[in-house]
Amino acid sequence: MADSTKAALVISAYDRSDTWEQSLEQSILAGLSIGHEVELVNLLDLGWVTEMSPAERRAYHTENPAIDPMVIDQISKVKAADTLVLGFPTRNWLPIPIMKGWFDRVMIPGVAFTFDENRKLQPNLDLETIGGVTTYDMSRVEVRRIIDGGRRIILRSLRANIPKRPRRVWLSLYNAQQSKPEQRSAFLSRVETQLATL
Amino acid sequence: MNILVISCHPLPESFCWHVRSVALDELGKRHQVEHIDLYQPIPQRTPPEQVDALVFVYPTWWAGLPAALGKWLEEFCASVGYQNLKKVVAITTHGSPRWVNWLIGRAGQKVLMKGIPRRVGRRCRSRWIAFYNIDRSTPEERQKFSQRVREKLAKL
Repeated sequence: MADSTKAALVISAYDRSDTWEQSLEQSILAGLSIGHEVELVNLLDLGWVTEMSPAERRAYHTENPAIDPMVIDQISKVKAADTLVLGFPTRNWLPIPIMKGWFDRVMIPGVAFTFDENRKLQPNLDLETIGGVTTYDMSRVEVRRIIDGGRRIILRSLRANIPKRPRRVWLSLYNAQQSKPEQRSAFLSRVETQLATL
Repeated sequence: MNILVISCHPLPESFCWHVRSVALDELGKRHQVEHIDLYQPIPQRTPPEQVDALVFVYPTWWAGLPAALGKWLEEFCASVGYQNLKKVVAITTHGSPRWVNWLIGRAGQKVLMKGIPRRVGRRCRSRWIAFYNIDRSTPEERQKFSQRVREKLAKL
């Protein structure tokens, strides 16, 4: 019997405690729980180590690049997922370091891609849907002036590692720190309703 | 000039470490240089307002900055110093070819080359010295790149 419920993995990294941003995690979960079996990873609660260690880098181009149990656990979650949604603040045009650190350490050879005999990258991710939910510390104009780093890394770099063209979702709020309560609640409900349609 | 060199690679045997020693050697001939390795953090001695140039040496991972360099950038952006910054140089290695990086976004390049001058609120010149396709490179190509780094930095 075909199982119609899909598996969703949510990586959440809203690092400013006691702010409204924390509620975004709940909105993501509430939205995805319609039609998904959801697995949540909160990088801050997990005590995620941001930087790739020397030992990990040394293992990177070997047969077994994953050596940290915490990373191995993340990899098995990614492999089990049909949908991957990343929730994080964007600061200074980039995903915050702990989120980037998740990419650096988890999206390694054998997971995101493999090397062929000519040392060329081959996409290796089996995901149907990828998405990002982010808050910006600046305006849309200011983001566009330099680069929208998080959007690029998820909707382009990550996507390039998925052989079957995935569905892509991007939900964001500009000038999040200065936003009014009604803008925030509108964003929270937009996140929930949009993710519920996946 | 007072130059702050910021390097960020976990492995001493890496090509990045080699390039960084080339950079330190070349810059040390003419300038006052302080070096910070983000994998062996020590407090910065030069006050931000005395820094004339920033030179980054790092591997590009996922089209962007390694997370450790991202952390440093957060501190940089929160600092009010660096009013006298005149130059930003990035020396970086990419696993994939140049065209791939053009397609997927060049986030690290944009943030260092355009974002930093924007943050310090002045026109500082920026220079991008990049090595592409390192995963498939030959020793000769790497040697040539080291030489290019030396020549570019000599003209700084």
